Amino acid sequence: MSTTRDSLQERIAVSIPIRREKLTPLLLVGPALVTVFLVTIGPMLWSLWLSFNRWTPSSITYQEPTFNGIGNFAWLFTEGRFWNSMANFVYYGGVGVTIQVLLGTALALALYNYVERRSVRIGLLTLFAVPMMIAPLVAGRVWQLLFLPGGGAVNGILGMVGNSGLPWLQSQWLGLTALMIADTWQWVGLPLLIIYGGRASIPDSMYEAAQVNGASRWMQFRRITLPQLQTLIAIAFILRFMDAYKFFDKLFIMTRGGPGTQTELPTFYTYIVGFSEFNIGRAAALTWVIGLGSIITMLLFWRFMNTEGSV
Amino acid sequence: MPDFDGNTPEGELPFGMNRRQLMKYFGGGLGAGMAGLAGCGGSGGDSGGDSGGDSGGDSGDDSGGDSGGDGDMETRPFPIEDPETFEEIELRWTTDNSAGPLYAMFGPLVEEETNLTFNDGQTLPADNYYSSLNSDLISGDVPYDIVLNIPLYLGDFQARGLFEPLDDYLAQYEGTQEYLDSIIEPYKRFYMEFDGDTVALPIDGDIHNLFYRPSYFQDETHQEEYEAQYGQELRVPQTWPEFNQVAEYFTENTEDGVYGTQVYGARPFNFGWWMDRAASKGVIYFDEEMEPQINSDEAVEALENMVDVMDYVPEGSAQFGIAETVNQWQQGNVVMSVWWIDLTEFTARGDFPVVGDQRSAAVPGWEQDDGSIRRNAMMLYNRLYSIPASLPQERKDAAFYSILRLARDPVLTQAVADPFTGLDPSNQSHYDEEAARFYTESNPLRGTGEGFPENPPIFSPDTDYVGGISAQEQAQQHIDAGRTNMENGFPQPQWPGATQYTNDLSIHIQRALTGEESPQEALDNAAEKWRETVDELGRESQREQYMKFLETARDLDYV
Repeated sequence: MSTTRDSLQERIAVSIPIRREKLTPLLLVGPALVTVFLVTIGPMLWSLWLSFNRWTPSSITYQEPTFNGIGNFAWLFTEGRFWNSMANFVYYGGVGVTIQVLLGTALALALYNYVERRSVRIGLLTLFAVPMMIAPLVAGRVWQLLFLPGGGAVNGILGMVGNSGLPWLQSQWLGLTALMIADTWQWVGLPLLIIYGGRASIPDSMYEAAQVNGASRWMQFRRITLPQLQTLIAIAFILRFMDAYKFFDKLFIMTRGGPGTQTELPTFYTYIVGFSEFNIGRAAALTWVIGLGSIITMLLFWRFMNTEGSV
Repeated sequence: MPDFDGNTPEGELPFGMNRRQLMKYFGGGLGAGMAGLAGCGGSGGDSGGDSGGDSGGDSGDDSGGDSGGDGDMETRPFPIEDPETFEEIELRWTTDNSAGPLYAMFGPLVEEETNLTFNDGQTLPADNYYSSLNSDLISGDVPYDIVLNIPLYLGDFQARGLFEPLDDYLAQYEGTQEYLDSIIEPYKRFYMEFDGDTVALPIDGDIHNLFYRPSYFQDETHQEEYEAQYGQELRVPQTWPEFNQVAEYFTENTEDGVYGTQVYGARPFNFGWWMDRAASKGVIYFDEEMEPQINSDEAVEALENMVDVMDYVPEGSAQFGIAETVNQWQQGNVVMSVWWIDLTEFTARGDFPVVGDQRSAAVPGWEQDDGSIRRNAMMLYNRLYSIPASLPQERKDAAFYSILRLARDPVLTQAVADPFTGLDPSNQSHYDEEAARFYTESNPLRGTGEGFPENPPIFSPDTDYVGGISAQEQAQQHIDAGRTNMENGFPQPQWPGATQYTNDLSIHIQRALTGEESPQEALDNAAEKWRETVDELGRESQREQYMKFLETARDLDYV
């Protein structure tokens, strides 16, 4: 009997300090966890619930959330305007981001390999970084003026080479291309800086050894530079792709999704549904579909990069 | 005894009544008692009761005719004489970015008379006004005391009871009946009221005018060449086909960069330019069964006419909004422009090529079988002032006095003749000869400030006007054209759902302008969206609201 009691007391005496040990970290990180839940996870769960409801608070109907199952998702998958915005995104995100990263990589390597004076390199790097410091709305306004069909500088330059000018913001593909050009001008500096930093960290001894072994510049690029930069290129691509998904500012200023709805992208369309039509349930459904789509895209991209090697 | 100074908290009112109920029941008794003492019998007593409670209903028919209550109810003088009438309150207000900072301009008048002041105000983009304002209103706790309202959105807002009915407030002040009688009838009937209550005061009577450059039309070479080319006299176009023809001529026969006309293609207001053409073909929004009529043969012809003129407008017109179209006119890049009546105001804000070379005319129409021309100019946009219903009573009282001060003479008559307000005639008195004179003088009721750095007249006596006319003649011609168009106006949708209908219509109008859809496709697609919206909002409730609109339109001979 006394042995069992002692054993029990021993277990209690041991367990209390253990619970106290586990409790302290929880108390320390608890407020942060609560904050994260309130600010991030909680609203996400709320928006997920809303996506299964019909809610148009500014309309005379559905002024309170009304459960309608997968009705919002069914609407979304049959809504032509949404699929139009997705098609636009495939062009804008796929082509535009690829151009930004390739151009940034090319500029970074050109700067490192062909500009010998360090001060000039730093000056040019700074120059490429300056557009990133401009507010996207301001940059969009400037490019809107540059792309004006009648008096814009872009058509003025085209006129100098014999072209009569293009209706830049007046059609779907030219409008999206204009958006791409404006965004590339502003953000090519980001992949450039990332790649430049990566190139600067590759030891020169690797290139010297390759040279000694008779490797051409192309071989050096393929066998040394590219493998060493592959991870950073992937990171630059992911960062720009994530930004492309939430691209809004310049689109709002330059085209407002027009003409008609021809240059709408998914995030802009979500804004229209949520904050112009105030159809909160449908906007929540759009947000979840677009968000999941971006996550799946990223996962597929990482899988592809892993398959290819060193990432 | 009813307390009219707005300082009585709701909780202290008898039987827990709200102020409106108090005025209805006790005001009626008070009026009856006073009438009895005065020996005025039933009419005095009735007006006392009616002005408190029934004026809400009456205003639907008589536009607040009984709400004046001037006969027997105690009313305040207007302007008020007691500076202590209101508590010290800083009023918060909102406006759109194409209107002037009206309370910055005229607020000092109110501040001198009262304890009221005004904050810097909140400016929202005109082409995104509904979305921007709705974001503030949707929570129910509105951060403004004075809201700039637009009839297009009024039904959507007031279906949720967001704004305070104003009939009781109007009844408090002298001269209310005279004021209400002075408001141009369609603005009063279509744009001030919702479900029989007055919920807004008009301050801006938008109407479309046709503006043109007389130097081009009076040029003898152009006259000869036009006649040689078309076999007709060159004149300010009277019909829409003639409008396109004149636009074609000037695009092809003027210097590079000058076009015959321009088109307002931007959403959400581009539909107004289509309705200028469609309404004068007899097109209406819905029939009595809520079947859209916007894709009728006449409607398609009207859009075809609008699309055809795209060959004679500056590039990019399909996306042109307020700023772009104003700029094109200011720079003299277009010979004609159908635009809101205040287009010339923008040219008074600087030294622009068109100053002295701009006239106004009736918008074109369509020739009828009997040779007459039917025109219908859109009464599109039209600013109003409303007061949020959620405010404490003392703020509502103060806000109402402020908006009434701006909406009544002498302020409004001077304001509509001021190039920095963006306001247009909304009262009968804004179209007479004296009003025309105000267009040739600086506004005596305001100074200068941020957003209104100068105080020039719209038509300066120092300007040389084409044809050698005087500034007064120029001004008179301008408002005469406005009056002609006003007499042949056509209202914008203003019932609940109007925002959705016009947004969808404007998307397809723009697609037609860019060639993405044919006019038939565009209007068929818009009509299909309208049917979906009718079903979504409830066919019966939509029909009920639309029939009020339609009956008023018939009453005013618009339909």
